[in-house]
Amino acid sequence: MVSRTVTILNRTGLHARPAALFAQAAGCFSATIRVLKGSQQADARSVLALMLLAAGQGTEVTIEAEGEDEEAAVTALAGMLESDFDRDDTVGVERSPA
Amino acid sequence: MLVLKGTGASAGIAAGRVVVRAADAALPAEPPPGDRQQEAARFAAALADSKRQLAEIAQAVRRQAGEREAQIFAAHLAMLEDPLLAGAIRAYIERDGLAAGQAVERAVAELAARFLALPDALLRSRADDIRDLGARLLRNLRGQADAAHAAGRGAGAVLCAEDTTPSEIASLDTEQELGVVTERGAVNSHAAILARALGIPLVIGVQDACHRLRAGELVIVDGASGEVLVEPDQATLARYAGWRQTPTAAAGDDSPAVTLDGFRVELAANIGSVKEAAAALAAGAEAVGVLRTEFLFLDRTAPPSEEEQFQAYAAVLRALAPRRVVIRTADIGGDKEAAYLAVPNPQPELRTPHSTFRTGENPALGLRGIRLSLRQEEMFRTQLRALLRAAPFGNLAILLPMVCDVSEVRRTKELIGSVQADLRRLDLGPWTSDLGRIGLGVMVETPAAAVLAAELAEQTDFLSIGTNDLTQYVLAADRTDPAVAEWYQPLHPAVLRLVAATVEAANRAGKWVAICGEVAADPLAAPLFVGMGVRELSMAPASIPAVKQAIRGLRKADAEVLLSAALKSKEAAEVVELLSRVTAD
Repeated sequence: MVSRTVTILNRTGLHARPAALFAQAAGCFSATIRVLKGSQQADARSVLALMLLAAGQGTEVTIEAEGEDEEAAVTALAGMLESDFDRDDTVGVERSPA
Repeated sequence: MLVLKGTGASAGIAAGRVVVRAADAALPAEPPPGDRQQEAARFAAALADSKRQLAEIAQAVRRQAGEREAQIFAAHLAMLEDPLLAGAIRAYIERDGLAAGQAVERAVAELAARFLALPDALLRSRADDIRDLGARLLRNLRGQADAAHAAGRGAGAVLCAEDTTPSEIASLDTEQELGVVTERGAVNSHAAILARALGIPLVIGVQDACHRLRAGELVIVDGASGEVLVEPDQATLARYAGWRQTPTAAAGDDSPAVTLDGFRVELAANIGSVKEAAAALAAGAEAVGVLRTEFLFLDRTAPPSEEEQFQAYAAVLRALAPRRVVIRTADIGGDKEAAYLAVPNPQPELRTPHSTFRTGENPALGLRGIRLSLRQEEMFRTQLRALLRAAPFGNLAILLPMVCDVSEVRRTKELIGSVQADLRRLDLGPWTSDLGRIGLGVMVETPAAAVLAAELAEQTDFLSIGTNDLTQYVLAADRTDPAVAEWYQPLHPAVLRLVAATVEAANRAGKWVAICGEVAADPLAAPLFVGMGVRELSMAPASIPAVKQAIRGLRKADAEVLLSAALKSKEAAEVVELLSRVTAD
């Protein structure tokens, strides 16, 4: 089993649509993946479970994966939570020609 | 005549016979439970039926209302297949040996309770969606199609229920059912959003409605004032009969609304998506009074790009040209939260594990509208650039939400100036020569803006009075909270006096003034606004024909007399009484 604890850096946290994107990404791996927040845990493929974590920006969560592609899964999903794509996107807009 | 008071959640007038839907709508009895395998197979079939129905509803709603409303059902599809819902139900059947129906009931109740315990209001409201899905699964388990569920309501019915759901609203035959009255619900629920998009009058929060209204009783539902008139007398019926008009009756009629003595009121549409531009035209809108741009900003992980915004604004401007289109800059915050803009709570003592990165304990009074735009300056500049670039495609005016005084106008003007300079420097197109004719206006929705209307009118081209928020702030009554629904009164004299003073200030400054709250869609209230000299009423497209008809029956001189009496009223009930009496003559 592989696990990594990350602080949710993207401004979206794991609410609504980000939860759906995260669950979709988790569905790409064969490993069993869980997200833990304090004493709560969620199946990473369940949008409802992720929303129930009510994990906003700055929340510390642990991603656990067990299975063939556990290493890749944890790396990819942790990367999602740690990326600040909000800021990247704004910069991109400013650089693009009008 | 008994009058039940609730909250208007979707404007419009309906008169019909009450049909009460019990909380547990009579479902055919469930067949005796089979063994685990049989029950699992029954559930699998019900799940497949439910998925197919939701896909069909999404398609129908997309046609009738638009993409944003259709997405409610796309989200339902995803929730239905979730391990916590479908998975839990399967486990209850296969592991615990429950009958399929029991398994659905248990899983839905448990899941809904978990969402109801969350601190975030939007996440909490997902409980309603989950219960809606559960009810659909149960109907399918018992072989009851949506059509059968609807049967028995019949033509000319007003549906009365404890609560309603997005599915139920979408299943209503707008030719047959005239209106909906519920005991519970919220103004910003998915069901209410759909009712407004489909033009179905909806009154929520009528206490004990299912017991106080009896099947077969004749009622008038006023979805703007939130009133349900039980067994109205002939005079009242006759008065409403003139206004209760199917929207199609005057569809496409874009002749102006002029009073008997020649005062003209422009009737405009409030729209929230590019698609609704067509509905606005079909309903005979002379302009768009507010294009809410939140549809571009919500339910996504990052703000929309300049290009995406430019395309959307240009599409609406082109569709409506040469009519004026007032585009309101993003009104995010309050009850419309964009997760990617969450900001740290500035008051550490208020921090809870959940609110640390939310906008405070009282979002309606928090960082929203122009406040958020000025704080997120890069995002605001992007929106302004997109707007200025789209301007040449039609007749654009820019509207700023949640303004308190001229300082916000001044800062916005500075930003617009700087964005214009950028665009000129880049010399990217023909728009630079057109910049001078773009109007800039403010929403008057804070009491501060109403009090300072004269100063704001001086610095801007127009004022648009947002009576929904103004009412909520003047009466300190959260419009999303059913517990204080009776305090939320758009016709309260305290609100009316501020609105009248704002209109007077704008007219004295020679500036255009509009009303764009839901009360603008209320034909009963039309004499008040005509009396004030309001230039434009902006409303959901479906409400335009009824308001047009009301205005055509008025005399401005009479309306002024009525208004002065209304402004002297001591409470909302007096105003309503006055309006009923005068319009009955």
